[in-house]
Amino acid sequence: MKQLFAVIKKEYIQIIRDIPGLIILFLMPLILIFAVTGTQENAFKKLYDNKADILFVDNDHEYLGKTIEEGLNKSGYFHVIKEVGGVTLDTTTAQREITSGNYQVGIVINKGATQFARSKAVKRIQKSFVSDSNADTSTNKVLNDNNISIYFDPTTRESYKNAVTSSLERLVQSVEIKMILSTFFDALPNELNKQLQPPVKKFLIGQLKDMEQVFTDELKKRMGNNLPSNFKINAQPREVKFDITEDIRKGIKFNDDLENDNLISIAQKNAHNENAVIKPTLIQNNVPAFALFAMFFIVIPLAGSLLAERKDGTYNRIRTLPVTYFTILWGKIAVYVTICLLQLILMIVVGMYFLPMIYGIPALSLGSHFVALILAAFASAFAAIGFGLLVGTFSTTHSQAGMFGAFMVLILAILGGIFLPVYMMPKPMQVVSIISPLRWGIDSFLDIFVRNAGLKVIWLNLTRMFVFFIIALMLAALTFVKRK
Amino acid sequence: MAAIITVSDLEKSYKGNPDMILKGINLRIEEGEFFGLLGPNAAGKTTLISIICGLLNINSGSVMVKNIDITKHYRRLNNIIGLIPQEIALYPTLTVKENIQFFGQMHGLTGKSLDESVERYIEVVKLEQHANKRIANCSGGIKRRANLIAGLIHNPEIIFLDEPTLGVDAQSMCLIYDYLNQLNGTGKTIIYTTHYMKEAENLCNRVTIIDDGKIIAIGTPTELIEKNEGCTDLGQVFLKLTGRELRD
Repeated sequence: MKQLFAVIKKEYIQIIRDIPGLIILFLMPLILIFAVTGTQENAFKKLYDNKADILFVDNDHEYLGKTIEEGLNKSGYFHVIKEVGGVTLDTTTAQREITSGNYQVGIVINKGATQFARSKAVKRIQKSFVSDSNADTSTNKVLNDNNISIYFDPTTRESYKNAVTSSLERLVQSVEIKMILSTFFDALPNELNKQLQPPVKKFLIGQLKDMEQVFTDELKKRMGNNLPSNFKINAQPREVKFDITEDIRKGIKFNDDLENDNLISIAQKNAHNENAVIKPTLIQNNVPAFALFAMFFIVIPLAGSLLAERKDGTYNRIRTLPVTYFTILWGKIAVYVTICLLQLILMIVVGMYFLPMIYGIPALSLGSHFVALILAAFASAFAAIGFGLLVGTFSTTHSQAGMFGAFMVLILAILGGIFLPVYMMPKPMQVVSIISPLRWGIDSFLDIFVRNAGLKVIWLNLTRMFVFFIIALMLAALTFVKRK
Repeated sequence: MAAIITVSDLEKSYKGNPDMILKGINLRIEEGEFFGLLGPNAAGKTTLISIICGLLNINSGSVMVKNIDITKHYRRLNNIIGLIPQEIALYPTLTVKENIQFFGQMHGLTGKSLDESVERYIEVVKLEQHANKRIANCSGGIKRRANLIAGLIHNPEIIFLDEPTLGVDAQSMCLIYDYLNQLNGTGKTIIYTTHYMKEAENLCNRVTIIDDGKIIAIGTPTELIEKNEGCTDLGQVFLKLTGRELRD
């Protein structure tokens, strides 16, 4: 035990005297988090040309639900999922799938949505034909319950949410026009209907096509120019002349609501655990991401320390000492784990106090699962150290270890979703990303910080990180023995 | 005298290189000897020392140190042997004293006995004024002296010194010689490699010359000089036996 403390002391002295190394370890993640948080908020993020998975629950089973589903499918950008594991989704199961992080988005067409929208359209048309509106507004009250709910995983980025929501809004607007059109003609007296229908229909169809064109343009803008081959761009907007006489025009008084109020309302919600207390914010995502990124940079001093011992002969001297290599390694591990935890604490403090002060954003919330948080912190630190042990054991020069270590951390960070969320990556990359220890770490922290999940949810990722560390430790020790 | 080290038919090659570095070495070193291991570059001296210290595996043969088979039980030698490698095997960011303390602790020294040993060894090699200097900031001579005592702090019975005077000034050299003679005088067995023939001639009771993985001569310096006609010192013997051709 005394020997272990001696190793710890020696490692502590070595690390504390490596001032440039310490500056890199602590300053680099701070610069990153300030720079990225400051720029990312309004960053334009395009969706990739792969189809985004969208859970779809149609509780309406009528015109609205069917039309929205058809519109999503026709867009070519969404993969509409109505069943998971052979079971048809309902609102609860869809929310559960999203809360668990398996999917990012779910659209629920609420029960009676078509009926509500039609009823509202009728009321509105009725209201439009009277000068003094005293029409019944009860439908509006009923419609306070939104027709469509769109659920997002709390970790989903704002830019992605906006892209999906605005696409859906365009689609919904075209449905609204069709419904108003049909209701409007039904409400007209026969004679007037005969006179009005052809030009108005022509005009409204033109408007509808305009809407579809806008929907297409919006998708193109947000999702890049890689439109799938099966996606057809509608006809150009047309100019339509009204044939309605001035008398008729004067006789009809349109209420402003016809122009402004939506028939179909969309509510954007975050899928939550029932006991969730955390509000998802950018800071909840960024703090763990960059803390992990910083932790993995421990590879440089740790690999450097291992290599230095091999190069300067202390490694050979160590082999003649009456201590096991595990003692030497555990001495290093104890010090480097402490550094990793300090890095995380520093980032948490910055997220709780400094970033809100500087950027005026909500402070980092640690959630309510502290045991899970502590275990995730240790598991991530051990995974980072495991990576450092591997690089230090198998590199032969300092420059090799430095370059390889730094590049690998960057690659693993990219794969792990530190810079771009995994769900926004192309499908093959999403599969590859599972090998990144940084992904195991970031997934654990996001579960705790954003989804307010506990050990029951993160245990698999914790196990992966600890197993990775144990394998790395064994390989390092085995290589020490084999080097004879 | 009893043999403290016995090497029999030792063969060694490195992974990826089929050429044998050591080709059937047979050697017997007696307790209390100051034994010189001489040879040109790449002759196999460091490899032989590393094997005896248990740092390298062997292809065939046997190595017994104090009747312990080092191929099986090299860990038992840890407190018996002291290795002073050719490189400055110290931690550059630690001071001289911290380095010596660390290696003392690794050998199980603690508390007062550790402090006393550290002070004593620092005094012996006259490093008192430099004890709190970081190794990285020390001169070559200080580093060499610190490197020496780091391998001796646990008071080993057998001391392996791999070119311990490499790159040091005459003053430090003299100090090291004196101290090694003093240690040998207390019964320690010293195995010493060097490229300085005069050094070996003055210090060693017996020397062996290795070339191309084989022992080509063994005996006291005087015996070797006498055996080789026309040679007046060990340097001439060495060149006569190993030739003047440059080695890698």
